[in-house]
Amino acid sequence: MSQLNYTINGNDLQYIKIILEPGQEAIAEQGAMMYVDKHIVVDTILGDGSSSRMGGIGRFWNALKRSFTGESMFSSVYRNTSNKPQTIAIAAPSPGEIIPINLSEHGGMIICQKGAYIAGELGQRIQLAFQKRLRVGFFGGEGFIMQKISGQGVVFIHASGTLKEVVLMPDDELKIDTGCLVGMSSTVRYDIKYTGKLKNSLFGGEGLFYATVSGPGKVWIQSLPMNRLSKVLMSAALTGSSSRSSWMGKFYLLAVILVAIATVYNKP
Amino acid sequence: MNNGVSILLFGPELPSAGELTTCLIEQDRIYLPAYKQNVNFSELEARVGSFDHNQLQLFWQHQDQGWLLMPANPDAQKTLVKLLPKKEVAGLGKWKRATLGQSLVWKSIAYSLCSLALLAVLVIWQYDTAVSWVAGRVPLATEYKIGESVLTSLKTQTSLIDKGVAVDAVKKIGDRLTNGSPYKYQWHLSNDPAINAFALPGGIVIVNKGLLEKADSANEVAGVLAHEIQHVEQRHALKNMITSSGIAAAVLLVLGDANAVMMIMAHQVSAQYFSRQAESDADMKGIALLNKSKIDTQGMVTFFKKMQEAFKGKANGPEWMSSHPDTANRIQAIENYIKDHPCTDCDRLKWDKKVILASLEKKKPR
Repeated sequence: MSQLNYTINGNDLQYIKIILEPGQEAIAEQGAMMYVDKHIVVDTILGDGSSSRMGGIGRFWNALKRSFTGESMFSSVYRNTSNKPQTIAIAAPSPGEIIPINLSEHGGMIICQKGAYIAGELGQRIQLAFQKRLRVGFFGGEGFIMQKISGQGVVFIHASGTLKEVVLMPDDELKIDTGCLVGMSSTVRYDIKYTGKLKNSLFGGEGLFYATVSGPGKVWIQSLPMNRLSKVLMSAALTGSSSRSSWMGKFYLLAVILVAIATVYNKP
Repeated sequence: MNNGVSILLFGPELPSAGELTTCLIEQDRIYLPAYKQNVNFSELEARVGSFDHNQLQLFWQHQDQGWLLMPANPDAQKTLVKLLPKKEVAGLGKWKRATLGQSLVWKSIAYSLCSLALLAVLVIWQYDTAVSWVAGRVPLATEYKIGESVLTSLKTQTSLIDKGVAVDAVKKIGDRLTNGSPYKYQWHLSNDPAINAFALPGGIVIVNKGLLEKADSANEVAGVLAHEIQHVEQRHALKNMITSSGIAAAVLLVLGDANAVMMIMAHQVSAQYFSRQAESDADMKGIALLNKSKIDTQGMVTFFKKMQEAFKGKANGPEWMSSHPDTANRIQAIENYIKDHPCTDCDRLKWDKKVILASLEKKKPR
């Protein structure tokens, strides 16, 4: 399959524009479409469209498992049926960044946080990666379930905030705040480490544990995890409804009027 | 020794996803033919790698730069683990323990879940035996105490009569039925006009005035008493409590935190189911008791028929929602039992209904 021809547009609220050659196909998660050209046929398939040894039941089971990784059970396939290049545009579901990852450069497999996948080439598989270390599952910030994306070609993943790619050499280790990890290549070891000082863990605001990733391989880190963003927005939404400044303003206005009335009455 | 294990090599100026190559395991070192590089076993350090924490990674320093190799596939990993001497490669023993420990953790989780499920199935299957066993652990004194406390709270709501002609009449029938029982029975009458009688744990039986009015013969009263006595003898109230707490514990285990609505629903359904079971049980054992005490069993049937008449036309939902089994079914079951166990030498009891009722009337104004 020929390489996808794509551009990623926008700054913080991004979308991918993919130009499909005649007969070329792309796959995206449900509900991510922004617009498509006239000759694009949109099709819905179960799961990631991969076949299973168990036939229909196996495919359904795979789709069900996939639905636990933050994706829907079905996905959309966009196929160019004309003989001219056609455009499709797929948008990110929340503020943040979309990054393309060429799976072939990462040994054909990466592990991502839940719901990171948005689009890719047909034939890629989105599977459930279960965290086998209990402590990492409980305290690592990503839970027990992550996404295993395997196959060839480009896959687009999305996370809120700005995404940073870090290359880890064999002896490198990175401490990450739990929840900031978006993805990693399959060779990366993901673990947790106690922050070390009780003072840090109680008052430092970083929690009891760091997530650590050690090389070799690549990791992707997000600057603003969704739960942090939603926490800020939520508190702003709650306090914003009863705006304190306007209440103070009214009080000030009342005081001015009272003073004015008083001066008028005291005139003679 | 062999012709190479396929590995992924990581190092400076190599792709970040690693370079696929082969290595040879020699006497005391690893040889990388593609790079003409030798690594002594003593320089190596084994690490646990990858997302699943089951991959072997071998790290070493070469000219102040870190190098690492890992088997490219599970088969290669097996060969590597087999070929490398555990003592000479630092951390290899630890690696083996770590990966083994992890699989042990999951195996033990799986086994304990399986055995829990097995236990649950066993308990459900042998439910009656299990509950009876637990009930058997509770001493009679405890049961008696529960009954007493319920009786005390009942006394604040309704006026109970525990002396007089009517109580004596009931006691006479009751004593005949409870001959040889480990329980010490108490007989009470209530001024409630509803047709009902009930038993508290520990042998406290309360008969409503309404029931005495409705009954035409002492045998009918005896039928009801036999039923209530069996509730006491079979420890139904206690078993019901055990079932409820068992279900509450199960709900708590399965759902983690059980909210009140779930608990109440579970309790209701179980209590109703248990109640129907208990009623049928008390019916059957009640007739057996009547037979044993040589009291004519027809009274029970006629009284149930009267109950059926009395409640005819009143909507009572489907059977599974009710605390009592369908009356028609109960009558059918009782009649079947009587047909199978005819009692030839059973006799009819005598009572003076007028005197009894009159004695109750006198006490009423209060």
